Amino acid sequence: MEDVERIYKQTGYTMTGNVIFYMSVAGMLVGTIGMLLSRNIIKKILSLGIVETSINTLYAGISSRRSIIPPIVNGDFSIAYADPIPQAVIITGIVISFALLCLSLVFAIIIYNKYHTMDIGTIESNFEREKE
Amino acid sequence: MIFMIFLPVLGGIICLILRERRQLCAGLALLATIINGSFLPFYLFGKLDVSLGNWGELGIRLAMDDLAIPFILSTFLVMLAITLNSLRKNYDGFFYSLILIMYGTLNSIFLSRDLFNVFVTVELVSIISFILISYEKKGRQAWASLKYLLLSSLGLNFFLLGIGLVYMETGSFAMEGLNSVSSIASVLIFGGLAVKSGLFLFSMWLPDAHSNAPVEVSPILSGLVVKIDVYLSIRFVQYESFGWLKDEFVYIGIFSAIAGIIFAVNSKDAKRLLAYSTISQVGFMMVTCDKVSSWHGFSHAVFKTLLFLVAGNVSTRLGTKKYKDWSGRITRIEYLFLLVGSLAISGFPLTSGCVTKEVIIHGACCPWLKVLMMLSSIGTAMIFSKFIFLKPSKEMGKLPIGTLLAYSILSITIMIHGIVGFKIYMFESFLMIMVGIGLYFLCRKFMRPLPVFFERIDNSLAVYLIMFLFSIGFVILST
Repeated sequence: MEDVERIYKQTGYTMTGNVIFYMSVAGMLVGTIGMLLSRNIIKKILSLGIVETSINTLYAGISSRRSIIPPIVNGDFSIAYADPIPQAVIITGIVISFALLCLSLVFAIIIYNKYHTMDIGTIESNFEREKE
Repeated sequence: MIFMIFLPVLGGIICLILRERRQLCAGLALLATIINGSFLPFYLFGKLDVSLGNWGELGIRLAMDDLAIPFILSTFLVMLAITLNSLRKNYDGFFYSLILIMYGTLNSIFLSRDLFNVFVTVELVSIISFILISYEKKGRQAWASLKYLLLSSLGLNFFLLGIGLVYMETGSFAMEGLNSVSSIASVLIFGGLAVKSGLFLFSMWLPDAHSNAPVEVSPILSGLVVKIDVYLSIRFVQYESFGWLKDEFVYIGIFSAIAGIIFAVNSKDAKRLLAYSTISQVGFMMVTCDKVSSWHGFSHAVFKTLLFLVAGNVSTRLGTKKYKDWSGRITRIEYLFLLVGSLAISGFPLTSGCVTKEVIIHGACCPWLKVLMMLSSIGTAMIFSKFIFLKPSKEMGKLPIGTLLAYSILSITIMIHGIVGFKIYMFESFLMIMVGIGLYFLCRKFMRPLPVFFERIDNSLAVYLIMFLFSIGFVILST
């Protein structure tokens, strides 16, 4: 019984959770800077992948909150459980980020077949010349 | 209520299975849209509120209220017009299934009261719109799609971070939790969605995507996809932690309204002109972020759809997007509908644009804002005098029956909305149109297309991030 009280009195997040928060925010900044600075379409898409992965990891960190009452009827309440809701919802987020990466690679293939380059500067100057 | 979301999605899935049989799919899309529309009166005026599943308050909440009504009505009208217009063209079943799934998802956004559900539905609408923009698989369309995709998914990741913070602070994804979250969560939510809003400098992917999309897709983008953020901003402003947003929107909105006009006046391409005008109108809506602007969203969706459809059909028939080449070649009946749309967007009395615009201008908080909004209204009249003074050819011209029906439904909606809501003080908008037309004839000689510096992918991303940082700074200063 003492174990149960000890578990449900704690507040805040576990140490792993805190590490995950900082790491994922850092990863997001790195990915954003990568999207801003790279000149190649594939590298831009990879940076977007880094941003998406960091955010998905953040939700694993959120579910490490202490003193969660597990949504089960009978069971061993003397061990700590993870919060199930963020884990359940982020599965949708993972699927969405997968779909976005696939779709962007499809567009990259279409562009490469038309213009035979992946450099955004060349492609955009191409468009502006076409207009005149 | 759940019927409104699942009927179109079900129709879309059936279309996907039967995609080889084109005629059947088109009929099915029309049928699903009309059935959904005929049930609207029962939903709109009963205050409905359901939680899905048997979990009580934990389930996803769907509710209908005054803010959602204009957006749901405009979704129905735009989808009906697009399906009617596409009947005689070579679209296959895949196109109709995408359109129908998008219809159900948009209804779901406007009804949902759960933040994560909003994220999933917004992403679904975005993915469908990326596919639709590059539907004809031209290089330019694929590039516009890719640019939109990179910017929009980066922004929605910020939004996801924001709702993660909301969950950490309140323990739930329900929108009621927004009353008591910290302002960093609210700025992440606003900044993430703003990339889809169409405000100037926040979303510079917009002119490329809207002007290169196929004829039937530009109205969806301009009338409905842009309105998602308008709707969500209007809803979020009502919660306490978004108190700063109303002050920021006064500056961002009026800046966007005027900058959009400067770009549009100088444009020579008809569809680009309409895309820049969308930027300006969204800014106009955001200035007073309340129920009135949601009705301006409705009237903007209707007349922008009419304008985009007419402009798209004329430019495919004549093979040029330059509106100057249309002079003398555009038939009388096309010119008539172009005239109705242009007069409505510049606010001629007895049209819907006049009603909602005048209410917004008279609801402005301070005199300098009122003057600037009148200026932007004059500018809109100046842009659309380009269409008003086109010379129609001598012949009457014939339209396919579906296209004619689509144009007439939209024009009748504009007229009815304008006559029902008309008040006598609104005649002053007539004065603004006259000034705008006069200014157009004065400045006609000096109009040159402006450089597309902000629309390059790196610059648009950098400008978006700078505006994001500006918003964070605004929050820190105001709290």
